[in-house]
Amino acid sequence: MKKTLVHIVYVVLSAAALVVAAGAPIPWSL
Amino acid sequence: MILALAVVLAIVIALLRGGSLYKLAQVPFKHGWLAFVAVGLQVAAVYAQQVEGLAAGMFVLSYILLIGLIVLNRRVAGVLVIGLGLGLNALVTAMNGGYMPVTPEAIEQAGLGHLVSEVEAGTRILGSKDMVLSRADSSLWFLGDAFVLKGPWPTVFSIGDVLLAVGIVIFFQRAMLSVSSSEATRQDASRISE
Repeated sequence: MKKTLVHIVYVVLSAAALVVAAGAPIPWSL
Repeated sequence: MILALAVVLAIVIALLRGGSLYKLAQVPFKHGWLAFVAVGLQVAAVYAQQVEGLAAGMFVLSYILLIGLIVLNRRVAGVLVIGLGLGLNALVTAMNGGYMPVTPEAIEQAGLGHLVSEVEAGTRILGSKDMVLSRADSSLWFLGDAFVLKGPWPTVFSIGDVLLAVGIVIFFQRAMLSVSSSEATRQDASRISE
C-alpha cells in the first residue's frame, strides 16, 4: 500500500517537473 | 506556474470523468528523477546568469536530460506530445542565444511590465528563461512567448507550452481512466456470462 502511494506521488511529481522544465510561460517559468 | 496548474486541472478533469488516482500506480513512468534534476539545473541557471556560459550550459544539459526522459517513456500516452512541445521550446530558445524571446507588446498586453525594469529589447526577465526581443530581432518569434492570456492570471506563453498542456492532459486522462488487462479480462468474462 505504502509502495503504491509512493509510486503515485512519484508519477504525479515527475510529470509535473517534466512539463515545468520543458515549458517557458511568464510569469513563473519555473 | 500555469503549467503546474495544467497538471492539477488534468487530474481534476480525470477524477470528474470517473478516473482513479490509484491507476497511476500502474503507469510505467521510468527515470522520473531526470525531470527533478532538470528543474534543479534550470533554477540554478536562472539565478547564475552572471557567470557567462555557465547558465547556457546548464540549460543545455537540462534539455538533454528531458529529451532522454521523453525517449525512455515514449510509449506512455501523452509523452510524445510533451516531447513535441519541449522540442519547439528548445528550438526557439537555441535560435535566440539560449533565451525564450518575448515581444515588448506581449509583455505590455499581459500587464506584466512590472517584471522588467525596462521593456526594451535585450532585457532579461528575472526568474524566467525569457528575454525581451522585438519580432524583427528574434528568430522564429512565433514559437516564442508571443501569445497572451488575460484574466485573473495573465500570462504570456508559446505554442510549445500549449502542446505541453495538451500532452499532460492526455497523460492523466489515459493513465487514470485506463482499463488494466486484468480488469478487461474480468469485464469480458462478465459480458460472456450475461
